[in-house]
Amino acid sequence: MIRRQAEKSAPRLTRRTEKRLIAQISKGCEASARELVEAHQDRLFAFVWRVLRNREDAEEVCQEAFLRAFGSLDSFSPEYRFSTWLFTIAYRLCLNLIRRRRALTGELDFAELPSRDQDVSDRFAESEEARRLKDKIWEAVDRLSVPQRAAVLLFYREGMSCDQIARTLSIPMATAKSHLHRARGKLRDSLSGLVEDWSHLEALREAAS
Amino acid sequence: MITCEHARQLFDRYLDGELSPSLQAELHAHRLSCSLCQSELAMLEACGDVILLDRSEPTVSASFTDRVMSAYVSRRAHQPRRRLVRAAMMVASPMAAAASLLLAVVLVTPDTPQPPSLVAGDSASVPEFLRNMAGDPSPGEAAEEIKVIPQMPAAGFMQAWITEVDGWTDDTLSRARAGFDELKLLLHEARRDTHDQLVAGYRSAPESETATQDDAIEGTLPAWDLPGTLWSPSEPSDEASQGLLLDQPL
Repeated sequence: MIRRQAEKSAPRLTRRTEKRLIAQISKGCEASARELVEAHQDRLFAFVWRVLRNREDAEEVCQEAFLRAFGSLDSFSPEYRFSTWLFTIAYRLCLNLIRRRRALTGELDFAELPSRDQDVSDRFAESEEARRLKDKIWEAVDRLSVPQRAAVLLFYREGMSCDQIARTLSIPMATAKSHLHRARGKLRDSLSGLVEDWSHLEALREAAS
Repeated sequence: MITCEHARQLFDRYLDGELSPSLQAELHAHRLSCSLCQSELAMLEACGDVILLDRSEPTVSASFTDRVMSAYVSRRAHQPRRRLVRAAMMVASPMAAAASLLLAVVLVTPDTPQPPSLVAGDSASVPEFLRNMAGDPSPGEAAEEIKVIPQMPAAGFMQAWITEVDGWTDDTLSRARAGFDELKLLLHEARRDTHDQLVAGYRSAPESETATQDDAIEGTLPAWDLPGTLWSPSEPSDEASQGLLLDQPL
């Protein structure tokens, strides 16, 4: 299995830089706040959008997550990464939003809604077959429950360990593992009839990398 | 060689990166011989690769950073009051704690020390000067007696309590210090904001002689940007700034 960091996103800050920026933000430095926003906004937005599947909502949640993080920097423990804390806040805001929407629309699951962002440019050069499979994989991911989807995204996209996922989602580690494993089970069930032999699809992985 | 059932039980641990090297080798060996497990594992790996590397999500709006920053600046403008209250609490709470401690000491401590009551046959320590006055021939025995006198039970309690209080004191002092630092920072920020307001108003005033940020640096205006410089409202250099100050109370 390949465990790689997401090379295509913005370069991640070192712990030292992160600490320095946080100390400066505490003193009221706006430039440092901007730097921290720019360093995290793409990754955070991708995660939140995958959970909510709506651009406006995702941007609103991301903005609020940054503001809350900056507003309570004195309660931030430097032993954790800022990104872990930021994703935790954003995930809770996502859950709150989903709950509010559910209260308004009944038990409607966001994942069942068609995405409003169908016009996104596809920057994934690939064959027709690879594109079809990639879409099927994302559809299967969208059908996962919210915690399962979050666990899968944090594991694969953010390269988090089960322990870090547990901290980010504020759940016990055993539950985080369970979400991840059940998610894989669901993905397997959703995708198993699609291709006779997945092992010859090295082209998909090659195209992805 | 492991069976398919056993191999599938290992999939999650393998994909989590938690499988021991020996079991990994077993799994790979099985994978080479079993097309079904090979395909299933390849499918799960493909899922991971697509989630990791495919960026088909929309990107965040170009104006997002600016929007966050303007909301941040606007929220911060409302924060000083909360920060002031918090800093005041940090300073006040140790003082309140110290006051209650003092009260407790006053209430708990007896007015006059009560000597242990002695009955006939008890031993008691005799101060040196008394022994000398009485011409005590055996000071060694008296010293021995001093050793055997039991401590008052309260003494141990008081000692433990004092140690505890000592700990609290360090803690509360450091919190108070942090509170004072916060208050100092707020004062500094308030001075800077006032300075900005003054300079902005000063520049827009049509008839006044222009005083600039450079003047503040040069010393024409009070340099309240500099830490440790105390600013008083009577210091502005001319009538215009004096007027602005009155028109724009802090």
